Amino acid sequence: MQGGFVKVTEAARVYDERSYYGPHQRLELSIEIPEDGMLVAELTHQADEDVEIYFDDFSFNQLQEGFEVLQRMDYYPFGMPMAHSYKNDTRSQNRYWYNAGSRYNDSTGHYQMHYRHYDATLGRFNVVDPYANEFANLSPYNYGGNNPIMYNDPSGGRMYPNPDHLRSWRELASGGGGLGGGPMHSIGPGSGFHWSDGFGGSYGGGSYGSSGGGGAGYSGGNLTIDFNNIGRFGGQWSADGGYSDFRSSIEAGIAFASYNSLHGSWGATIFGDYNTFADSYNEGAGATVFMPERQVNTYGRKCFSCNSMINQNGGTTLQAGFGPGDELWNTISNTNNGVGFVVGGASESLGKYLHGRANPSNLVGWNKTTGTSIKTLLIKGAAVNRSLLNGAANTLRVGGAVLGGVGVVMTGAEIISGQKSLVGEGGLDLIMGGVAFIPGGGWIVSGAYFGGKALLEYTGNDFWNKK
Amino acid sequence: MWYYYLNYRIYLFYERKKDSMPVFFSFLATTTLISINILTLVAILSFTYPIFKNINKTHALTLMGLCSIFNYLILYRKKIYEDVFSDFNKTSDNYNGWNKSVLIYIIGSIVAFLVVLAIADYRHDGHF
Repeated sequence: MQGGFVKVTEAARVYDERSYYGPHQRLELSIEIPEDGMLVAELTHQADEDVEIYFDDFSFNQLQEGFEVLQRMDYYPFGMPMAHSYKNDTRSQNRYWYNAGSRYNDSTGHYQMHYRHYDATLGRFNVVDPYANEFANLSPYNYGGNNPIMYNDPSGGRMYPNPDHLRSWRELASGGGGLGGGPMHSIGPGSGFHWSDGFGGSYGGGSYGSSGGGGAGYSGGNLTIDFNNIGRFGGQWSADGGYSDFRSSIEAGIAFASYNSLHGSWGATIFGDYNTFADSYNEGAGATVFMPERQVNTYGRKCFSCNSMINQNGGTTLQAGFGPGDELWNTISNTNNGVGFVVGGASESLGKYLHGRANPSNLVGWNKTTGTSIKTLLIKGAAVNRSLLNGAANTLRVGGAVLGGVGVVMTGAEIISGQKSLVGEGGLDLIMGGVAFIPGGGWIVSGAYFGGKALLEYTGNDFWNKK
Repeated sequence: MWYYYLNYRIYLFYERKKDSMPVFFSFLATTTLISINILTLVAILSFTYPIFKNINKTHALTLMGLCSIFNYLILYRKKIYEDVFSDFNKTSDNYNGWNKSVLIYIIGSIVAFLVVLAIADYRHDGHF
């Protein structure tokens, strides 16, 4: 079985011509089809630059004799098949037609989308748009904003103005190539067709969204995601004033990827440690395009302690597989880990000090008969029960040492997963973690390091993760 | 047996430092060593299988928990270590040949851990 898609590239150019109406090219592409199957052609111009492209005189030619064309579909702008469309009903027929390959139902004459059915004869859906409240100026039955050249609506939910979305919607479902009609304009920010253009300059230069945590936001014409600045719960991403904190950078990344797919804003995105993320999910180093495994809705509420990230519009959970309680440990931020080291170091040192004070020279109330002591001097003039002091000292030392060991393993895990770097934050954490266990002044040095780091993180001046 | 000797040597180290809890520290040190060994393996696997890259603090803690349970069951349960360590005390001369391997294991574990972390780091950032 042969599958996939062939892109028409520069190599397909047969000649250039310059006329009164501007330049035009004739493109020709020959492909060999070795088996029965179907051929879908998509006429869109997908490029970064903002140029208007028009197609005309589109035709298929079958070069080899003795073969039969089983189906040919041409559509009016709103999707009604033209009369000369040809279907050979005796063979298995392709029913994924117009609107990014929506399935056509012969009985009802409607296209069947996820949310609604669409009557291409009327150019209207059969029921009200589930997102009608977002398009108050349009009929709730409208298709593609009554502008089928610029928009389509493969889900029956929101209309979508960009090819990236079409690709993700279809490719995710079928694993095959892109289908369906698309826009003829570049739709990046600033093109006049991008979602953000309606905001004018009011957000320029500033952080956009309700995150308040920095790290990700809309500013100065670019969307940014910073995988290093993982926010309160281990992940952070915001461009639409919706989610800003996620339980992991992976969740943040999925929301981010979905957002860019929806809005076609990949080209305007500044990545933090993006390759780490892309590698994890594309299973290959240097991958540059990430597609989420499933469609997710990035609109939602800010979530501080939810078990699952259910979005406001009801439905999709951002990522399955996170058990309740998982977030408990993911919320242990860098700072908490650092504080653990300091507490460990201080406990260790204090414990040793207390233990040292419990030696016989500091004892009071010595019982000569039994050779035991009841109390020991803690500091001059204050005596405490010796066994209590020993117990406290040992408890502190146990706590301190366990925290130290756990801290080393945790920091290692963070470095492997790319949340910290060895030459930099993670390595220094390891060293400072070790320093904290040097009795005497070690924990003071470590305390100054971690304390200062915590202060910087809380005041938004994270030194390591500054971009 | 070699693992018991590793525990014994660490125990001896802390005992010579006149530490009040040498047994606890030998338990914790061996647990941490096994944990970072496994973490080293995970890091190496993560170079080929990206799924291992997504480990987090929960996994690290679970790993340490499992290692400590393993350690407890194998040597520290029902004070097995008392017999083992006293045996070593009596016959330690027979095991002098293992001292070198214990030292190599401890230093090697830490160095290997740091090296794979450095490689992981390099793969994430593209530079040191």
